[in-house]
Amino acid sequence: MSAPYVAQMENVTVLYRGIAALDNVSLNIQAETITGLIGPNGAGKTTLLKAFVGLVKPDAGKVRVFGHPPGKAHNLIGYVPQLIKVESNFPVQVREVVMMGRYGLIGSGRFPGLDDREAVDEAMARVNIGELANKRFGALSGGEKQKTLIARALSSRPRLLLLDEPTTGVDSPSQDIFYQLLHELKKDLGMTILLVSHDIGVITSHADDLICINQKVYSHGAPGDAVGKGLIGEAYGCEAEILLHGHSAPHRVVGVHSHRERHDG
Amino acid sequence: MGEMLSHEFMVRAFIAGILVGTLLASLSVIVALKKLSFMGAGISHSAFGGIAIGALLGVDLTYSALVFSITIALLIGWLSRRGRIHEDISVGVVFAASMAVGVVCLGLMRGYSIDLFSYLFGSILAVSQEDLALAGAALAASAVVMIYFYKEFQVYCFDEEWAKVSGVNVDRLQDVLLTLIAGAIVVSIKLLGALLVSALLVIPGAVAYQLASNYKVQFPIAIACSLVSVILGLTLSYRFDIASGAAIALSACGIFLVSTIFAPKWE
Repeated sequence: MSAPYVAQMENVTVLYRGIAALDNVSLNIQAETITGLIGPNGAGKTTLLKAFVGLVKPDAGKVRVFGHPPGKAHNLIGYVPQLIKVESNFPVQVREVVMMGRYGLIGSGRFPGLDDREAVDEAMARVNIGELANKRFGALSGGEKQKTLIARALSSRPRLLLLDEPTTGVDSPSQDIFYQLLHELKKDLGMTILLVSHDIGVITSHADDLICINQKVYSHGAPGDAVGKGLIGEAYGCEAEILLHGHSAPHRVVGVHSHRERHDG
Repeated sequence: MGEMLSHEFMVRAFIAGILVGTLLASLSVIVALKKLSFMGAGISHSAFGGIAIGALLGVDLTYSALVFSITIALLIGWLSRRGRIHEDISVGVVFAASMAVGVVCLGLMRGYSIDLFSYLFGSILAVSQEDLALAGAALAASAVVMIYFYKEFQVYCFDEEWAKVSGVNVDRLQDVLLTLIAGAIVVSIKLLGALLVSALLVIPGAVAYQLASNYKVQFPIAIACSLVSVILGLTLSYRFDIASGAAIALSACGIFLVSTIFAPKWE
């Protein structure tokens, strides 16, 4: 029997100034899985994540997270955006940034207590940034900032973790450790994970499910299915050549892109 | 100093200065972090329109400025959230419109008797007991709101998207902040003047931004900067018979210059 769905989209359309970033998208994310979300630039991957987290309101269709509208489930969701731009002088330390992950649980007019401090320590230990606790966020490297944002998302002990290109700026050894962490979160905490990645080879070797979108859903299933049926090349709008790397996993998609009109999203 | 404080109007001016200096400085931290200095200047200049409308209608100038400035502040917030134009454009439009309303209203009045100079540039003689009570109430209300939304303001300044993800109603929080700023500006007008009140809404936060690497520490630094500016400015105003707003603004600018020279270089 398959696990229940934790996040669902039903005929969701999102328009930016009349242009569809998502066009009638329906999908279900199964509990306790790692799902990879791939697609070319401007395919709507970030928009899809933002719709789940409540930052983007669909123009049509329905989004549910744990059976609730996204805005009512924010304490159950951890979200890691693409790198945020912060001035290097901004007066905030790593520990404070991670604590911001608890703010939704703490509520207005209250200040962090022992539970919150413990959750922050635990999240920092999980991504191995304990020694950065008192450093200014703006002074961190790109990879350290990314780890801090992951710790921020984990500090609320979410049941669904959404990550938007989380390995950008992260070196190869750290990427291995990162994917190891995702497997631990799934296995130890029963977390459901949905992550956007451009690294198709890596994601196919770690994900239980792979969703390939380009405004519409082109494929959704076991990673091998999409690769085998040539659906990735179709979504990318080019004659795709899947380069094999290592254990027969596709390393990347190359090819000549068509001149389809796209926009950011 | 003793001679200066033997005058009741000077004692009132110092008390008012401490109250509004603390009030504006605490808000200036958010203004600096969120880069709202132009918005602060726009709201403070719009108070002039409120004063002129009050004079034309024959109602209390402080309350007419309060209602007008809060309306203008919320209008700027609404326009900037519409997303079609950048925030500084909406500030520029509303700022110009409210100043024009003020000039038109003054032009419609024949032989108006309000001391416009003291409203525009501040006067230590203009502060009344009622102004002190109003400044005290505004400081107390602002302190309660700032403490209640302390975390929300921090995350709003750092990462507005995360604030939304955390369940913060960012639009309402911005309205609360703009209302506080408008209220603080109006209760500070008698001492600092509508045209110079923005000095204490911008400079203390800017000084704190340069000197402190911690959000929590920024507030006492900004307040200290503001109070030193007020005390130095009022003393200069009394000694050299110059407008209190200008003297306080120049003192604050001097502190900003010194802090810029001696600010630590962050790694």
